[in-house]
Amino acid sequence: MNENRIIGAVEIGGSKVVVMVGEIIDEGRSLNIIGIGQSTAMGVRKGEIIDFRAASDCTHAAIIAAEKNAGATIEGVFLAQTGRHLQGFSNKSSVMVSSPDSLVRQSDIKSVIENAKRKELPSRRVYIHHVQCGFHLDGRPVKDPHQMQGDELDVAYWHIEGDERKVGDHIHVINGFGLKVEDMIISSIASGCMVASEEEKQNGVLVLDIGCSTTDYLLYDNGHIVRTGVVSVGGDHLTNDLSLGLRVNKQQAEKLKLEFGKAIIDSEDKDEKVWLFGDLTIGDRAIPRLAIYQILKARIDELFGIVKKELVEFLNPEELAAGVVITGGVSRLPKLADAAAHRLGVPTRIGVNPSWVRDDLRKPEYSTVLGLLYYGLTAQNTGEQHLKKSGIFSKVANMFNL
Amino acid sequence: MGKKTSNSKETRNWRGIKQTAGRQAVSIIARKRKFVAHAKLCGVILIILLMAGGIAYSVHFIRSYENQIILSVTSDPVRRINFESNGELDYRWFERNVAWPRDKTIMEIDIFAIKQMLEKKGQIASAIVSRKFPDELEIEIIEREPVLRARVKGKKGKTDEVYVAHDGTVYFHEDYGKSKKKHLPYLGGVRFKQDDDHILSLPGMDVISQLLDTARLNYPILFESWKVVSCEEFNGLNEFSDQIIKIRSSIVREIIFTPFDFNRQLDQLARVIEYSERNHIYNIKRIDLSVSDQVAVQFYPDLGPRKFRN
Repeated sequence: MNENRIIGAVEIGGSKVVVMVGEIIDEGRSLNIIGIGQSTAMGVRKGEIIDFRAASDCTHAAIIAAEKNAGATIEGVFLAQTGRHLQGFSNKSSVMVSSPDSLVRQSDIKSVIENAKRKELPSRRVYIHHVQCGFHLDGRPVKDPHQMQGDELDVAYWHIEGDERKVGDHIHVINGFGLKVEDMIISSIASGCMVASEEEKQNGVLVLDIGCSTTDYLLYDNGHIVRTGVVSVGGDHLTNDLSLGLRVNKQQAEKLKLEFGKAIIDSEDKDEKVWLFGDLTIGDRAIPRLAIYQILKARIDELFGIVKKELVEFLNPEELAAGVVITGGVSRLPKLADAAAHRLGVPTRIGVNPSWVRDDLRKPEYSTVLGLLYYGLTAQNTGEQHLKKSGIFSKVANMFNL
Repeated sequence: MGKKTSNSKETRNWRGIKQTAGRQAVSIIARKRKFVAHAKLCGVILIILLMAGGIAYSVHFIRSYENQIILSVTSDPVRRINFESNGELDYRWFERNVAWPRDKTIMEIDIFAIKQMLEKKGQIASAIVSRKFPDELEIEIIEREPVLRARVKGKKGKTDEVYVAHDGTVYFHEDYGKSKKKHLPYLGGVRFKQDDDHILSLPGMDVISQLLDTARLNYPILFESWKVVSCEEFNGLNEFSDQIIKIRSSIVREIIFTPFDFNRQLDQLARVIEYSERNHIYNIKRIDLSVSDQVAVQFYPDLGPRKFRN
């Protein structure tokens, strides 16, 4: 493909819709981020669309803003998918090597992969990803078994599937703008590939993407994705808890969370108070810091407790040598890494987006869209993209966004 | 919402979900964008159509206009030719020597061909031929001015008189009067080369012309005595350093010039002639002005009454 392509990464999150526009240049070898658009999310709860019209309006507004910012028209969309409906399971398959000289042939590899992917899903469920967890030849891990000698070839896949209608709703929101979804990536995989280094992935790392309404997790071991999942707790829960616990409205609770929030309680915080507005107007009142921290800590402990429960067999320093990396908007909450390390029992750090991204886009809440663009670039290189129609009529149609 | 999906095996993958958007899936923003895109497309199509229509109309207009011009002039034959020249030629000469198509109308006549016919004549340096509507042709010519004359043998062995212009062009002319011819010295010592009907130009005539013009302007009496200019030892092609121009006059049999600094040489010649006349010396045979700033004068041996004829 010689021409530059404009792709859009779309994340329909719980609090906002983010659209990032990337230009794939140099015959698919490099990527320029050329624009970003955001809008407040509406009609979305816990990553699932509950009001199609509202979700369409805000997503389309974000796409328009991004295209305007980029000065270009998006040609294809890479869409992030999250929500509690996403589920994962592992499926292992093995075949006996068919050749008499015990050399693994392509046909053996193809056969074992097909077997591993063959599992039927219940009705109304669709596969999102089949993530390969590596080959084993006679029990020893191998990267590429082709032409290696052995008797039994195994492959394990981590399958991620979701509700067909809920996935379809996300796709149709994009289709409503006149665009096609070229690929769909679950949020944790997109953000994980941005914040975890190759070395960490090799040593074993857990990536937690704590968003507004959900927390997506992704576990790497030996460089492979071995577990993904979604916990329906996110930043919104912290805001709600503060709102209920301190009897303030949601905006005030959000402000308190962002300005004074902290994930752990220090001894010196016990007597300090903060003002709700700070301008002595009617309704302004002093709120003990301790109360804010206690409320936040309770919810954060619950969140990490759920994660710990779901990943109990992996949460030890042997399995997770590289520890935990936290990203997503909530990762900006002070001392969150300390709270996670204390609760999960493994070293934890806050994820940072790669240095090739310009400073204002390195915020943790952009990890997912950056990961989507990165995925778009690698898909371009591996030729996974559907070839775009070329010719003068397509060009004219593109000019007018038809 | 509630989009249909097929029940084939591919539906197990999200790619099996049909990517279409129902009317309710299209937001107002998307609809507006689509409308703008369609409007732009319609606009472009309209502009293209207008341009195409404009071009078609222009072509049609130009064609019909051309037809009108032709129709309006085909009925007008040439009724008059206005012939102007800066020299000897006149309308009668034109009628005798140029075969222009008399049966054609003013628009049918190829004025470029007439111009070419005129400029083929050696005497004519340039010609302008134009139409003056509705029925006149205007011809304006600039003639070459002769500086020398010569005699050449024609095809039938007959001797013809030809004229040499400043630029070396050699041409025939029958209308020069005696008074004009009288002031033109003969050219000698030159081999004329013929190409088809005309004689090829002579090289170096610009230098000869310079000498003759200077003499005619500054020493007219001296010039009147010049009868023959000989180019035996002047070819006008290479370096002039060893070349000389010989003049035969009625006073001196041979005057030799170098092709440089004619003013100096003519001044020296005039002084020698004046001196000889003042002292009644009439037996000068040769004056050589080509010897740097000296003048070599050769006399006939007899000092008695003139026995020689220059």
